[in-house]
Amino acid sequence: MKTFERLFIEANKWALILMLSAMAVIVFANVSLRYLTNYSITWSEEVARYLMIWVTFLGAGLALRYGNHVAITNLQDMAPRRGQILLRLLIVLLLVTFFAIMVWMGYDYMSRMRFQMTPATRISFSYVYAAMPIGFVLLIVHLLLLARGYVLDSRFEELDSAPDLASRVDETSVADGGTTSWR
Amino acid sequence: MAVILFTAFFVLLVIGMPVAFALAISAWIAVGLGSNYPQIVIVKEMFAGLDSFPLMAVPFFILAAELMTGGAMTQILLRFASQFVGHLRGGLGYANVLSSTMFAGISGSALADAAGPGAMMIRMMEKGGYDRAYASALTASTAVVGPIIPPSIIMILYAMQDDSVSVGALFMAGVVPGILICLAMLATNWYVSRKRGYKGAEARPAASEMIRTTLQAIPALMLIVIIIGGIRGGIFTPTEASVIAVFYALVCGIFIYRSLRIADLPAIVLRAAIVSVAVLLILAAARAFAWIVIIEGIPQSIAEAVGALNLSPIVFLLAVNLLLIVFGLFMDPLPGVLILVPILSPIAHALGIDPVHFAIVVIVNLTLGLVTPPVGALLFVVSSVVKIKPVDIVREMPPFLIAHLAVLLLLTFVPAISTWLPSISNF
Repeated sequence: MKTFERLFIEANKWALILMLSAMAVIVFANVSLRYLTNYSITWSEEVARYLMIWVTFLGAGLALRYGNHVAITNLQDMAPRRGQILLRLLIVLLLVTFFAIMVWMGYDYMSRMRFQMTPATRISFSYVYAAMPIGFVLLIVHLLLLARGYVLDSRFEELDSAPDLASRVDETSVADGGTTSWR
Repeated sequence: MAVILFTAFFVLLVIGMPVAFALAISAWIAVGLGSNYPQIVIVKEMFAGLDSFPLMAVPFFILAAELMTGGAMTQILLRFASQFVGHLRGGLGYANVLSSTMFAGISGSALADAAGPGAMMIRMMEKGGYDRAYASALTASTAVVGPIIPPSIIMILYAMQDDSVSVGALFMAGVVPGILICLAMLATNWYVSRKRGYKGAEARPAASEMIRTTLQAIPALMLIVIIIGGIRGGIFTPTEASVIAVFYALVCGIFIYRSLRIADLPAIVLRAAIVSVAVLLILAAARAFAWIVIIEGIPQSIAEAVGALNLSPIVFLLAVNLLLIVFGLFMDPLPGVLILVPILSPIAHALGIDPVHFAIVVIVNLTLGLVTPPVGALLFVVSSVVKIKPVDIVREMPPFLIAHLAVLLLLTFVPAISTWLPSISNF
């Protein structure tokens, strides 16, 4: 189970990293080409937009895992511990139900749209709309992996924080260097 | 359908459901229980919300800010600001305000402002003899300029809710109000520092060192010029500016400041992606929510009710301010803009209020909600970064809140502060 979780998270992370990077590269390439050569890539805007749709749904589960979806928890925090657990259990149940419905509705929508073609790249729209059912399946998996810690302790996973880049600046870090040099 | 929608939304929020899902679930319940529309409209509207080229500036500006923090630009701006004001009484406070304001010119979010330069400044101020609570309150209050000075995530989303304003026009409109907020924070720091006798660092750095720091800061400062100048001059659109900012930050970090390594990139891109996703998902869900609000004719019926009151524009603006302040006590600016703007902006237009002026009042007001208890994301971010209780920060907030309120009133009564720059920029 641990191995599955690790592989699942890694795969999900890399899918997200590659898609956002591809989005940036495509849009940047198009902007540069247009300014430098007057030539533009006709499919770039469309592909980038669809990548953003994919990023949103593929990333929703990871954002859930790391507690990035904003919630107002004041009332929850005021409740006694038992009440808190019940409230969070209710939230998890509501979410699982909603996610399952969205998988089904997303799949339905995707199937209805499969004969329509995207304007520039001429691929079936089902490749774009598949993002929603797949994304909500991922959300269910992420939620189940998270559920125990969340319901009992309101706990989310920690996203590895960025390496301490501050220490790599050419001299002493500014936090000290800025002041110590004048004191 | 509207009653079900708002009741479900309110109940879900109160029990602690994440905002994005509270919006989507309440929309789904309202369509399912209260109407004959097929539920698939929810799916359709969520896609429609995301399928937008201007929206792409959101993930790109978030990525650019992550790369900048990773690439040490934050520290460099901070050092640049400190050298001019550090020796004054309350000097580190001024440095905090100035570096946050400069950082606002390259990042589009208040939270990035507080977590980047803000967190570093608090540590520095504490060493310089300031109370940690005061330094935290100053940082949280100042971070409000993040989304007011362009670029701005919230402005991009606002422009998607109100067709009569463009992202470019809002970006330009934010410059002067942002500078005003910066001045208000400087003044508050002056007042408190004088009262408490916060000392300055002893001497100005040597001239040679100042020149070196300034030269070092130029590539970082150039980015502000590129973004604001490029959009103001109509050279590129906000989305193009955002992607240029990404690659500029990348090149600066790797080749000029040499603090960014290729191996760091996946982690940075991932963080940016996850932060963006949280914003984009709220937007998608809010679109489904707003679809119901609009199909039910809520904006029109409120507009008629307000119209019947025969309010003058300024009374209406003051009423909106009051409503938004109350809203902001509990809610983030993002859902605020997504839920309230489709309802309020048609009324404002009908009363003849300039759409850009109205947008700035709404955005500044809702952004202030980030520093007002009981729910203020900036208070929470700062408190978790520097390990201090939110209550302790709140105790130091009154002078800052008064200053913010004064700026807000000024912006409300004097439209030209917001509309002047866009009007001379041909927006």
